[in-house]
Amino acid sequence: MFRIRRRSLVIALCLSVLPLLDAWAGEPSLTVARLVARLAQSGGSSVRFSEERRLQHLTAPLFAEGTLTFEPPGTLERLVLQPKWEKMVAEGGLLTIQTNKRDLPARFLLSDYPTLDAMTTTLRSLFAGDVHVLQRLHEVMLACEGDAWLLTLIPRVAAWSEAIREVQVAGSGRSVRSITVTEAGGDILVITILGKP
Amino acid sequence: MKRGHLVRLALSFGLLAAAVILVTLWMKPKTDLSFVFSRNPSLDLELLAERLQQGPSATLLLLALSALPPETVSPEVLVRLSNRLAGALDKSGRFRFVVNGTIRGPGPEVAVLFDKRYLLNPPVTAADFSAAALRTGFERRLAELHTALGAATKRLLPQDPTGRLQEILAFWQGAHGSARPGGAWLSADQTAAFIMVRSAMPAYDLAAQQEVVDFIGQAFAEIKEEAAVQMEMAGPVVFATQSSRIIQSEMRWLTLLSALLVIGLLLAVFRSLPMLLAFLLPLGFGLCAGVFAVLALFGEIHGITLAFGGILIGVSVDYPLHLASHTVSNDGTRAALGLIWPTLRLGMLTTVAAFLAIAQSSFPGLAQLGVFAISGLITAALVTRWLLPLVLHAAAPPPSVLWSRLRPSPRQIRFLRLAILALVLPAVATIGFRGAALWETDLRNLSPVPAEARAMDRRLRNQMGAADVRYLLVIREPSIEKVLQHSETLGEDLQKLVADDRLGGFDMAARYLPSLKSQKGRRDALPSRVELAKAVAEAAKGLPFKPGLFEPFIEDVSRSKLGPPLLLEDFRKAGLEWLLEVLLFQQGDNWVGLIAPQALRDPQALANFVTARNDTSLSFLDLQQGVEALVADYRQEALFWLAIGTLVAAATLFLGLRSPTRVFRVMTPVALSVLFTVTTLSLTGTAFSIFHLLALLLVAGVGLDYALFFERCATHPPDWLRTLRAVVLSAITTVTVFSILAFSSIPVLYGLGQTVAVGTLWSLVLAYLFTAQGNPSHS
Repeated sequence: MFRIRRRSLVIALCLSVLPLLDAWAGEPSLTVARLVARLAQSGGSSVRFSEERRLQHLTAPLFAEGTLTFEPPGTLERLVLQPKWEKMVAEGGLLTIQTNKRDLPARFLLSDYPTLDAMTTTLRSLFAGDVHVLQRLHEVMLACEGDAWLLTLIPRVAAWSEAIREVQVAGSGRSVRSITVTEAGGDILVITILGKP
Repeated sequence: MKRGHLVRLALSFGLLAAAVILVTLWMKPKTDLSFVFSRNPSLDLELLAERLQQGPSATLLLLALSALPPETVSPEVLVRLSNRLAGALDKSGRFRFVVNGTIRGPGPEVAVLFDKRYLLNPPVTAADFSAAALRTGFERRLAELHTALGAATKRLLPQDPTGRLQEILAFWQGAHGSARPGGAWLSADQTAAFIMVRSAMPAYDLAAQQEVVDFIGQAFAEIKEEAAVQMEMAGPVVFATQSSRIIQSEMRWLTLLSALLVIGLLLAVFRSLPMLLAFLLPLGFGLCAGVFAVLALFGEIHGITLAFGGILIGVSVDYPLHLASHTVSNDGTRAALGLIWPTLRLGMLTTVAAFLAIAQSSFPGLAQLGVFAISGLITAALVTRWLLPLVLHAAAPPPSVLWSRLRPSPRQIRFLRLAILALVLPAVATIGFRGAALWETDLRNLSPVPAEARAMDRRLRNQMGAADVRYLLVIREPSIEKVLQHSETLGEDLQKLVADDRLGGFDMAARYLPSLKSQKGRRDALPSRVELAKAVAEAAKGLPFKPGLFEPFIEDVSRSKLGPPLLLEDFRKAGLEWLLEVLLFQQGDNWVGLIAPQALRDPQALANFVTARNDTSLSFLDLQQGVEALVADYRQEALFWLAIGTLVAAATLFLGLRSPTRVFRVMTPVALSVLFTVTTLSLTGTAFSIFHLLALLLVAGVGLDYALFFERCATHPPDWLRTLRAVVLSAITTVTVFSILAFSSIPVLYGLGQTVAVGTLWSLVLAYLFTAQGNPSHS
C-alpha cells in the first residue's frame, strides 16, 4: 500500500514539472493552431485596407480602399470607400451587398458565388480563430522566418477549388499584413492591411 | 343460442371479413373534387376542375416567418432564417422550386436559356448594339469589377458585357411581385419573410404531402435555433393535409363514441351478444356490395360516395332490429320474418326506386351514390331475409310495460295533428322567405379547414403580392405559337389598363417565352458580325479591356441571329418549366394560355375588355362565379332527380300497398317530416348544400320505414308494442349516432348530423301521429 502511494507521488511530481519544462525550452515553435489562436479577434476588430486586383480581362490593375470589420461569431463587413462606396456583409450563408447608401441591400446566397464564399469563409474562420474549420476546408501550410509568417491555404472543397487556387495570408507576430487570393483563372487579388482606422 | 347457430354466425363473419379484405384491396377511394364535377362540363369548368385539383398550383405552399411576439426580431434576422430555411428545403430535393426573393446565381442548367438570351424578354433593339449603348454597358461593367459581386461574376464579362442576364432576371423577378429594392421577399412592413415552395409530390398523394408538410416543420425547427420566430404555412397542400387530418381524427372519436352508445343501448334492450353481432351482418355485407357495384360500374369509387353511401345504407341496421324485436321465442326468427318481411321489402324497394332515379344523374358522384345505395340496401335486405334466420337463435324479451303507456288520448292526437297541419303554411312561408339565402353557394364553407386558417391563407397571399387567383383570362388556340402571339397582342392592350391603374400588372407565358414571330423580330434587330465587331472596337476605345476580350460576345450575338429559336423545351432543359407550367398547358387538342392579373382593382373593366374584343378564343374566367354556378347546377340536377325519385317511390309504394288511402297515410308523415326538417334547420340559419339534400334523402328513407311499420299494425294489431319498440329503438339509435356527428367541427358532418337527427325526430313523431294512430288498436 505504501509503495503504491509513493509511486503516485512521483507521478504527481513529474506532472507538475511539465509546464516548467515547456517554459525552459524557450519560445515554442509556431504551429498553425497557435498562430490562428493568436490571430483570433475575440472582441471584434476593424482595419483599413487597400486592394489591388490584377485581372486577366484588363490591361491595367484596379485599386480600391476601405475598411474590413469582423464581429464575432461570424460577421464580416467589407466597406469600400474608394473609388466607389460599397458595403458587403457576410453573415451565415447570406451575403448582402449595398452599392448605394440610400437603397436597401441586395441579398445573395454565398453558396451561389464560390469565390466570395471561399474568401469570406476563410477570413471569418481566421478571425474567429477556428483552426478546425480552417483545416477542414483547406490544406494549410505554414512557413516562418523570425517573427514573420506565411500561411498558405489550398481549398479542399470542390466548389471552391474550381474558383480559387490558393489564399496566402502573410503577417508578423500577431498581425496580418496582407492577404493574396489567386483565382483558378489566374486573377490575383491582393489585400493589404493598413492598420486601425 | 344453439351451437349450430353460433358456428354459422362465426362463418358469416368469416365471409364478411373476406369480403371486406377484398374490397379494401381493390378500391382506392378518390379524394379529389371530381365528385362535384359533371361528366360533361364546359371547357372552362373542366379547366377549373383541373386547375383546382391537379394543377401545379395545387401543390403550392406559402411559408411566412415572423417574430413572436411581433416586432421583437429584426428584418435582417428574418431574412437570414428565410435563407437558411430556403437552402435546407432546396437541398432536400422534395420541392419543384423554392423561392424566397433572394437572387440565385446563374446555375449551369440555365446555360440553355443563356445561349438564347437575345431572343428572350425584354426585347432587344438595334439601338442596344450601337457603339454608344455598348460604351455605357462597358463602363458599367468596369465599375462593377471593383465591387464584390462584379468580381465574382466577371466570368460572364467576355460573353455578356451589356449585362443582358441581369436585365432578364430583373424582368422575371418583377413578374413575381417580389421586385422590391434589394430583391428581398419581406412584407411591406418588414415584419415577415416569405418563402414560396412547390412540392414535388403529386397533389392527390395526401400521405406524401403530409410528409412534405412535416419535413418543412422539422427543417424550420432546426434552423430557427433560439430565435423567437414562428412559421405560418398556407396553400392548397396545407389545406388538403389539414382537412384529411381533421377528418381522420374526428371520424375516429365520433365513430367510437357512437358505436359505444349504440351497442350499449342495444345490449340493454336485447341482452344478447350474438344477436348484437348478427345485427352487423346486413350492414357489413351491404357496404361491401355497394363498393363492389360502384367499382364494377364506374371503375372507381369516390371517398365521398363511400362515406355518404355508408351513412345512407346505415338505415339497414334497422332491418335486424325489427326482426329481433318481433322474435317471440328462440325458434321464432322465421315466424318474425314472416311478419315483417313484406313491410321491410316494400320499404327497401321504395327507397331503391328513389335511388334508381338518382343513379341516372350526369354527376358521377350522385350516380355512384345511387348505385351504392341500391346494391347496398338490396343486399342488406337479402341478408336479413336469408342469412339472419340461420344465425339468430334468441328471442327478444317482451316489450316492457312502459311502451304501452306511450299512448296519448285520441283527443290529444287530433289536437296535435291539427296543430301540425296548421304549421304547414308558416313552415313553407319560412322556407320561401329565405329565398336564395337557403342555398350554400360557396364551396369553401364546406371545407373542414378552420376559418382562421383560410383567413391566414388570404392574408399571406395579399402580403406576398401573389397573383389574384380569382380572375383569369383564358386563351385557347390550336398551337403554342398561336397562344403566345395572341398573348403578346393582348398584353400590349392590357398595358392600357395598367396605365389607367385598373390593374397592377399581369403574368403570362409569353412573358418568359416570346412567340417565334417576335423572336424573328429580335433576330432581325441583331447586328451582323462585322457591324458588331466595329461597334465593340469603338466602344472599348480608351477602356482597359484586353483587345479581343469581347470576341465571345460577338460570337454569341451572331449565334442568336442565325441559331435555333427558343422553345418551350429549353425551359424544361433549364429546369425552369415551373415558371410556365401554370400559365401554358395542353387541354385536349388545344393549348391554353392563362393571363393572371395582379393587383386587379377593377374586375369589371377587365371583363368588359374581354367582351369588347368579341373573340371566341379568349374568355374571362371568374373562378368564384364558376364554382358558384357549378354548385347551383349540381343542386338543380340533384333536386330534379330527387323529384323524379319521389314520384317513382310513390308509384312503387302504390304497387305495394294497392290503396291510395294507405299510400297517402304513409306518404303524409314522410313529406311533412322533410318539410319540417328543412324549416327547423332554416330557422337556425343553415344554408343548404348538396350534402344536406342527401341527408334529407336519408330522412325520407327512415321516415318511410317508420310509417310503413306503423301502418302494418293496422292489419297486425297484436304486434303493436313490438313494432313500436323496434321503431322507437331505431329512431333512438339513429338520433344518437347523428347527434354525435352534429358535434363535429367538419361542416359536412355537422350539417349531416344535424339534419338527420332533427329529421329522424320529426319522422318518428309524425309517423306516430299520422300513421300509427290510424290503426284500429287505438280507437
